[in-house]
Amino acid sequence: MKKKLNCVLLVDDDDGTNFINRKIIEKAGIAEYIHTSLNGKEAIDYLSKVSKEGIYPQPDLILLDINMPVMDGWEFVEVYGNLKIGQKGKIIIVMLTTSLNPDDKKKADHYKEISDFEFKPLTLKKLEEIIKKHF
Amino acid sequence: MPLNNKDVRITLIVNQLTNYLKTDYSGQVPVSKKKDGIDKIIIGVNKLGKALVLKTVSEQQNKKCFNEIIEVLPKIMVADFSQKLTLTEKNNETNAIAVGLNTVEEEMENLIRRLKGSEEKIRVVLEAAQIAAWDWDIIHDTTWRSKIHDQLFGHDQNLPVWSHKIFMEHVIPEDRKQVQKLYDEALITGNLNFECRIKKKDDHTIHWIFTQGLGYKNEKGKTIRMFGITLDITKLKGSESETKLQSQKLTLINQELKQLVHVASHDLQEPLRTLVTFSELIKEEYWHKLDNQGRQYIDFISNSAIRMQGLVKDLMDYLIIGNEKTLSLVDCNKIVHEVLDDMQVLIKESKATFIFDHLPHLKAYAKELRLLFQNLISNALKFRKKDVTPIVKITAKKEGDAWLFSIEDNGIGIEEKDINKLFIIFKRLHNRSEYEGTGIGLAHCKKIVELHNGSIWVSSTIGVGSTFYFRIPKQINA
Repeated sequence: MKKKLNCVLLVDDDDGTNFINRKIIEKAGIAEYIHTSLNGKEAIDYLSKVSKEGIYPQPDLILLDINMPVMDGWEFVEVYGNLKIGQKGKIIIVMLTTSLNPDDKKKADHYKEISDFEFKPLTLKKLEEIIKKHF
Repeated sequence: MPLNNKDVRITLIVNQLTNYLKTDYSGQVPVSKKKDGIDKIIIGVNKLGKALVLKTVSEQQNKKCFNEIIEVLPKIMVADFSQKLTLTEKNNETNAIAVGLNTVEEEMENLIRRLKGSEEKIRVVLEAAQIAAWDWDIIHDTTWRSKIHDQLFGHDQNLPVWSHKIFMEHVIPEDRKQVQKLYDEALITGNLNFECRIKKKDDHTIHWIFTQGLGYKNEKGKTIRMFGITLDITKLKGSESETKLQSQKLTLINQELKQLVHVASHDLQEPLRTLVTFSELIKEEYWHKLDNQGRQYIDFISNSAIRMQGLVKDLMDYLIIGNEKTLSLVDCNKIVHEVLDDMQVLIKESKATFIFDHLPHLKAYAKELRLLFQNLISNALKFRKKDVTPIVKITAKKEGDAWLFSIEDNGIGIEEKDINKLFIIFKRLHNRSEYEGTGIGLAHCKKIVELHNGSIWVSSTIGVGSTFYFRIPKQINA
């Protein structure tokens, strides 16, 4: 039986990538709700926005791109680390990148906020492995 | 005080005193203009002669003293100051000579002590710097050399003799001909200066040495003696050849990289063009048969392919910058006017105002400089505030040996944290939907300015505007 997540946040500046990732997550049927942000800044804004009921979105899983305009993946993780506990919740961040640069993987290991590092494209199999490992 | 055994005055004094002993008081020793200790003795000797003629002093009384002087003088010549003259209580000429001689001895001793001190200093310095000094007697082919000289060639201690032949035996065969040629030339010019490889006697390793010498000629103009230094420059040579090798490698890598990107770009363009063409065909011929999702897919494909085409083209342009390097005299006013002409539509639409001083004429890479102005000016317009009429100010002023240009706008400005990202290739600070472009413009600018041996930077306040500065030297070394 598949575990249901409440919300998945996709952070990527490429509309096509967001579209595909959304499709895969929908196909896997693991999330109630999927939100898309085009860069780190938009994602932070989303995480910081409190609902009428006084609740922050607190997605369960963030799929994070590295190279984005305005605020890139690394900057996002820095800012995210300084968010209030209520805003952060228990979020699993998976860095999802096209980068072939091994330094990026090494750099990701340094951030305790980053739980995993995966290469694009996201596939159903990769997504299921992430879910199995972290939830 | 110069004293050497060639000083004829000493011989004259000795002769004169010998004559006195033979009761010949006729001669006079000529006084030189040096007015040194020896001259004082000469004056004394001459006075003594007169006194002996007038018999105010007795020859007998002075005989012992004469003999002593005759005995001591030659010793002084070889820097032996051990024997001092006995002074009498009599205040006569002989005694004056003895006082003079003793003074000369003391002066000489001091001088030699001082010389030895300086010599010691030079020796220590040379040894510390591992520099060997030598003095080559070319006629007899023998060489005096400092302590470490023979060690440079791999000998425990200095050999009993050192000759040109011995030196040449250490030089590796490949270098011998050239070194001999330089020696032959040096015998004529008096200047010796070369680097060569030698094989050390102890461990048979090859070392680089550097030698510099200066020749001394005799009155016939023949070089008979040469002084100089020799040092081991193997380490220097090592880093020199390493640097050379590194730079050769870099050039090669650079060439390969250029070639790779060039080929890759051409090969990439082909399938990209196919992607674009066929998605256009689908749009033309099948659009009506597709549902919304299908149409969205086609849009994704064609947009991505078009974006990729842009990226590849920009990458190519970036690599091409500076490929054809020809400096020419360019008029920056003309460049700016041309750039503004090209952007007429955008300028009209944005109602932008341009202010610029009289800009300089300078030697530069014309095509590239134009691209630089074009990028900076179009950025100033592109990142304008939506509700403010753009004003762009272009200035240039002399700053030492360089021109400092500035392009100032009243646009949206740049956040401080983003300033060091600006010049990175394909780095964009805004979402594509807000501001178009691949993010190569400022990387181009940086490359162009660096091609001109200059630098580029920006000062900006978010919400107020940005000023891009670039400084390029008036004289560019191509």
